[in-house]
Amino acid sequence: MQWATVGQEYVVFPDCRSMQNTDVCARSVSYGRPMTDQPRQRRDPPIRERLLAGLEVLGAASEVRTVAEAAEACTGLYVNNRQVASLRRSERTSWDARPSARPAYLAPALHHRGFEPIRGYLTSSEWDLPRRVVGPLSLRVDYLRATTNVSRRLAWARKQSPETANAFERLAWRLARSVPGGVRNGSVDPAAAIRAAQAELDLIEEEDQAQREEAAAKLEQLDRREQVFGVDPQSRKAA
Amino acid sequence: MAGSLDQRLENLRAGFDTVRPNARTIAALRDNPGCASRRVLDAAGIDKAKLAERLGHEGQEGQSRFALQRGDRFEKDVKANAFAVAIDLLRRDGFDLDAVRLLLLRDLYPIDGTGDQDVMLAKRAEETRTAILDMARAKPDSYNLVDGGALEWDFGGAIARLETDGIAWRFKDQIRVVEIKSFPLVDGRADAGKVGATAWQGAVYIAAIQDLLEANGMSTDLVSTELILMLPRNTALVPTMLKVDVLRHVRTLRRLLAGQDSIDELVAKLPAGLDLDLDGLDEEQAKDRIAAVLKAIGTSYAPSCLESCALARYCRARAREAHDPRHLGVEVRGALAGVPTTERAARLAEGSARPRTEEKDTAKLLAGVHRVLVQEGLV
Repeated sequence: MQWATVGQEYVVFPDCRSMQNTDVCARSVSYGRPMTDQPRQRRDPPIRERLLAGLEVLGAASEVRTVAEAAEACTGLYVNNRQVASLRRSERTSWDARPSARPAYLAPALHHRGFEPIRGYLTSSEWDLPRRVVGPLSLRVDYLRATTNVSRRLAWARKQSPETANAFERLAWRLARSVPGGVRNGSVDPAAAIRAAQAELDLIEEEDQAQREEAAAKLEQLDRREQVFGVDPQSRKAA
Repeated sequence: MAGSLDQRLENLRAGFDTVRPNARTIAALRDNPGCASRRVLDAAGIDKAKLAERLGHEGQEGQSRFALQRGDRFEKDVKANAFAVAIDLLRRDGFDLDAVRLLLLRDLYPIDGTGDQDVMLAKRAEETRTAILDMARAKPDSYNLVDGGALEWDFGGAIARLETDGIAWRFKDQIRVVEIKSFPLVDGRADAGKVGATAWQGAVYIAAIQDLLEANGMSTDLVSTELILMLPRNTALVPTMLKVDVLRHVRTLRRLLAGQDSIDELVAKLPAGLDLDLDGLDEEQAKDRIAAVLKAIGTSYAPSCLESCALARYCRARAREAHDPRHLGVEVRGALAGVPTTERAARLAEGSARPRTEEKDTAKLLAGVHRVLVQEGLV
């Protein structure tokens, strides 16, 4: 299990990838949710860490706004997605000052041919390369995977932790409403959403994976900074 | 005049601010096909709003901020999570979309001031071209959805790259253009004016795709002339679809363009050395220079210009000064056929001027109206 530490004493995010850890995530929700009128706590985790936690919940390259919503669901702290633009720059600056100093960086998804950053879609630098490159089918595949992951989490939380479930309803709704049967009478039907997403994934996942692995092998040839932040679209002719 | 047309347009611009033309710019053509200045300025990519500002006639080109915000929100929602909402909507309507292959040029080559916009637009144009041709050839694993494409548009000799709002999508045998708009569809009906304006914009994209296909020896039938609009239903932001056939619009647009002087001919009307280089000029001199350029190329004011051209207020003021009946609208202009100015029309009505042959019919009508007004004690 990986832990991100904030400040000196408080451990905030577990690696949320497996279902077993959701109870810890729920603790951080109750920690961060503004249940009283107290001002923002000094120990609140920085936005980058919240977004990384959101990404782990989604488990696939996702749109900025969705990552921000996932971060909010997971930590109870609001993330304004406009702050992400400046965050992108500061991640690069931080890398340039001390490469690889942090365990994970917020990094853009990368286009499978020229490895240009796909600005609106985020990943974590610690993910393996095939997960970070995006071929023609990948954004759809990743949406379906995120829908599956969040629906699964919601289904678990509804049984085990109503507070966590509340925090995830909205995110789950926004993802599941676009798969057949994902939302019934305004409420997410996790089982149906997972079924529908998986049915579509079965058709395209294999082809997508092959394309991603092929691209990742090429990406591996580039230097580490380009592997993380991509190739500047202006530095080379269109691929 | 020496040099290519692009060079001459560049000379005319002489460093003045630029703005990229879009489908709205081109669709405005049908509002007033007779305005040579607008075509030349758009072809040269000159920022008309900035010109209007220098002339002291700040216009209100573009949409209101609130309309843009609402539109932005709706569009973001429909496009969220790799177009999940849009894909769902299309599938429910029976469009066949098994494997969705997305090319998101807006994310790949952002035009937001962070990089060289021309380079980004050129890359988008190249990718759009390849993607559309692959779609048309039904190449396996080609993209079937292109967002933020850039299409080339021939302004009549001057080629411009248009950043499109629309999405090109291939379903089975045809490429379709999809537009996301924020005006509502209430009980199955939408504001006719807004649907009309969107239809014209869609027609520009469709015509540009037809040109691309034709230039590559393919049938223009590969792109459907039925435009798909995604709109909010009723008052909420729940998306719904409306299909509009824009074949008529595409034809009209082509006819308008074909019937006009080429940009080359229009630019040739400019006296040598007359350009928009305003460096070192004071306010008055700058105004005079811009006015001289507009006069040399020629303007043609109509009230509909107010909706689509930043220079409209300036042109209206000039038309009023010149007593040009056009500033009162197409109908008045038509009713005063043969009479050059409103001043002359007034004199013909009072009978204080003798009508020329071409004015006789109109003069009779005017005199009749004047008699009635006198009888009623209104003049």
